[in-house]
Amino acid sequence: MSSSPIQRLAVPELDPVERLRILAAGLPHVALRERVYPVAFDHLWGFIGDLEASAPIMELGIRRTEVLRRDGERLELAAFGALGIRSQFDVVLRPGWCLMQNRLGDIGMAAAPEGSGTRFAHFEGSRWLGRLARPLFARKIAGDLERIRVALSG
Amino acid sequence: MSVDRAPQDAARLDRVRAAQSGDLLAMGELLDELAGYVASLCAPVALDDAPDAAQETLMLVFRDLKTLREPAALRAWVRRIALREAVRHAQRRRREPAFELPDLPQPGDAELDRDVRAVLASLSAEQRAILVLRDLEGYSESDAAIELEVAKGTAKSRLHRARAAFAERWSR
Repeated sequence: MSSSPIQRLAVPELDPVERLRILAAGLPHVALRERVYPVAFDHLWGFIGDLEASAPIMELGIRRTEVLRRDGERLELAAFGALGIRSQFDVVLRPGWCLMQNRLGDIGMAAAPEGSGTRFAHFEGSRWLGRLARPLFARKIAGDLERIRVALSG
Repeated sequence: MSVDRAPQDAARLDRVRAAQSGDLLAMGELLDELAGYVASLCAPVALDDAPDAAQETLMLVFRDLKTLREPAALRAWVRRIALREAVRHAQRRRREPAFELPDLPQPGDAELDRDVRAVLASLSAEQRAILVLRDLEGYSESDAAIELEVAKGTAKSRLHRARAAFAERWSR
């Protein structure tokens, strides 16, 4: 193939929040919500990306989380609920991007700088309950986003 | 017919099948693979609207992924959607009064990038689409005509016009 000027054209990349919206479009059972926090990206992701610290704060039903195995971006994460009930997640984690899944459902989080703040997107849903449970998850995520706001301002 | 530069190995096809079944992590990997490819197809055709065209393309791809019968045909399917969306966005922009070139800093050689964008903006979306198939995807004129559902002569004249525009720009 001969060289063409269009091969030299700069190609804009999609940011993590735009990418998370795309995945949500392919998952009819998840609810997605977004919020812009008045903090720098590093501040926000410094909190979110430390899943052992952030998950018990974000998620009301989780008392403790533990990284069982880490291989680059891939993690196995155990979450312990109030009654000691354990659930395990396969995770992909990198700056601005976190996907978590187990046999019951899916969780996604993404962040990208916006103005002087950071846009954060979060989806969650249950494969078992399906799309009917989306309004419940939308309400739950609103609570998660508010708990993040409180944690960031603390 | 098409030139598929991605290796069609078993692992890759397994990943497409896993993504089709709703495996979130496989979907994430597939998105990582396709995002740059779709952006590179949309950029020369949709120009300023390329990010919107790329995002809408990928939303359609992931929404309809389960309907793709043959995982090996993924890239050809994605390419078709991307060019259709890029042309649609470009045509919508053409109907609007002013077409301003972006005044944003670009990575790499900014002057060259500006020149390429200026030439592309002088072409129609259809001419840009055939340029993408020919120069980025390595299609023959005949295959590009089939992909875009136009006569071979039409594809040939669009390509000639596009190439002439670049040649004129760089001969000044």
